[in-house]
Amino acid sequence: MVIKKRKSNNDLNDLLAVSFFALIALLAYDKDKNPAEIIGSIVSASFIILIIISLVVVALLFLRSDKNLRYRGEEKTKAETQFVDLEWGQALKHDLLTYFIPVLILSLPILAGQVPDFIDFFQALTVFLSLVYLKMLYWQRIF
Amino acid sequence: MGPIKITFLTILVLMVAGTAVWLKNKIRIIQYQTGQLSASATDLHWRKSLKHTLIMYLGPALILFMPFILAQKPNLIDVGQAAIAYLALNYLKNIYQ
Repeated sequence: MVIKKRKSNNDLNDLLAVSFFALIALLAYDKDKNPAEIIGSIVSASFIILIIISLVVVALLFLRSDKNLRYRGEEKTKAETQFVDLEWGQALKHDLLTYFIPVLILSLPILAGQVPDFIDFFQALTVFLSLVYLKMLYWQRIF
Repeated sequence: MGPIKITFLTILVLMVAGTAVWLKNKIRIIQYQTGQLSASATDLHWRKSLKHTLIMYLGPALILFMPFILAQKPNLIDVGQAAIAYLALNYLKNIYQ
């Protein structure tokens, strides 16, 4: 499958982007408010919109038929699956990351001179569980 | 138990477990070099790669989103933690693929 590169229409894109941001600024303008507050509200609103858009994209990726993706993978590797030899040095690196990245995350507030709280604990737990899941994915074992 | 005690206890447990697993992996490497242990193999299906990529991007997003769930505001430390998690997962992708 050959993807033709479309000729870029840079001037029109720049004009559209600038007018879009000008429209947002015009809509958000308020004489009584501090400009920094307005910028902050725009940033927080766009953050939420970004999260929603990324969730929709992920849902579409899961929902759409994976025929196209499979076809692309077969074309790239000439086979459905590609077998790779794993070395024990990779397991060593993976295990070191699994156990010491949560330590780093937990000790970051202490290094910054703050008191750690339960949020840091759950963040470290998230990273630990995702790394253990990846270990299960690649090695079919935890230890 | 307060959060500080739990944090230090978790750090201690992780350090001990990490050191133990490190030594076990060292022993495995020596066994592999002397021919007592065979290498392992895995298939790199695109689905595995997709799962790894999803974890790589959604894990740090979850870390950044976690203070909102507990009705607090994220600060610079949360951004640093998310950056550490992203870099670790990205490095892991470079190791395997």
